[in-house]
Amino acid sequence: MLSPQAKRKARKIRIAVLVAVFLLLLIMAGITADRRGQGITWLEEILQYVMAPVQGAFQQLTSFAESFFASIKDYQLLLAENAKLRERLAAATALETSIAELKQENERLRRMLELREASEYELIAAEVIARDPSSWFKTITINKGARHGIEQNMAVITTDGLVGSILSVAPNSAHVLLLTDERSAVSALVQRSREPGEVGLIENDPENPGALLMKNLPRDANIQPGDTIISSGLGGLFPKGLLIGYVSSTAEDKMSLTQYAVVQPAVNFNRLEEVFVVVTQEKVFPAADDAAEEGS
Amino acid sequence: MAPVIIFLLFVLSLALQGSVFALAGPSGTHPDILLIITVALALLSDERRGAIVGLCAGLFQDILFGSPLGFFAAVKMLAGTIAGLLSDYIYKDVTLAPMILTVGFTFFSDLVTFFLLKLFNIGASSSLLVYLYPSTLQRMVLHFLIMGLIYPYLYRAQKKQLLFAEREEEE
Repeated sequence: MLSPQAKRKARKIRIAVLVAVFLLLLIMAGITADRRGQGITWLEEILQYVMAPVQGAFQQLTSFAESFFASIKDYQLLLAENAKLRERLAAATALETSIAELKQENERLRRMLELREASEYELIAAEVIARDPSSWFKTITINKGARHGIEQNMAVITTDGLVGSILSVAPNSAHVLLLTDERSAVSALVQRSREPGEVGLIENDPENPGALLMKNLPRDANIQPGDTIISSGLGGLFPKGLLIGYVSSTAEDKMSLTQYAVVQPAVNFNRLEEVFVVVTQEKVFPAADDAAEEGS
Repeated sequence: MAPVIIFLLFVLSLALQGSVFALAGPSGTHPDILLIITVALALLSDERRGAIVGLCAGLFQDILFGSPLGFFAAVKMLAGTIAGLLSDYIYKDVTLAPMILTVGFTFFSDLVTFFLLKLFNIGASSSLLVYLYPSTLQRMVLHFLIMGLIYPYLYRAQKKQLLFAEREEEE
């Protein structure tokens, strides 16, 4: 613990030292102020010699900091550019998808138009608006109904072939029973042979989902894998000559009395979007035969 | 430990001052981080330590950036001494006090610098008003904000006695 006098003395000394240092610094600054045409002082030389590595490190630090922040700036620019490009890519992808969709739709409509023009039947175009979500029934709903001239049991086709028949009709919509439904049955024949005695019945194949079975063929029927199966027109429900599918295999039944064929449908029932309803078949085939044929 | 931390503070300040803030200064005005550090450290200690910190910081700056040797050492030592003298009169836990004081020290530092430049006939051909406005004014604002960011950390470091030891009774 110092006395007040000692404290004052210490303070005076401190102030004197500070003033002296300050003056010394000013003198040094005055000496080194104008360096033009002069070399550096010995003191500076020593200090700079000592500090040169530190200065080098500083320079590196500065360069690093500059490049670092420049990189951040570049990175920000790149991020912004990346975001813009992503947006454009997303827009382009959406456009591409839309174009592909339009192309496909255009192709389908073109084929439908060709079919409609070439067809000997009167056709009503309709769009598929719903599908039976259950796995038990194979039906679809179309956007045309009684108001458009749709009636029960009319055949439904696409450009690929036979789809099914009208199950029920509402004023503005109709349910279509697909060929793959267990309730559906079509009289069919082999296009290659076209023998009247080789008419089979197309039903769904319970052991082979998505495939059809052509049953009740004579034991010696001329049928082989790859044959094209078309509707026979018997019964009047379906017009004659509509493509049903292609034979993938044949076999005899258990009793070896008849043979059957597994038929792969020509129509992809999972991708039905537009269909035609055939409205004039009754003019060709008497409606009186329908029940007998379809009931079997 | 404390001298090392203070040295690192100087290094960091000069690195920032010579790089980032040299790039980011509005209309060519750069903040003097070293002055802010000097004032902050002086306010957290006393006039003797403030003077030493200012002297070291200024010398460091003079040697590293090629200014007349002792020029900024004198300016910063003066600022550090006065800030140290004021340390007894402020509430050190209130950040606003150093923020306001650093505005005054910025003005003071630039004023002294101007007169020294005149004294040694190094540049400063324009009038004091032109010299102080707008660069000093902008620097005052910048220093005010930067002190607000830096001081709380330095205060906490000092509370843990990482910067200076407690004052001796002799003082």
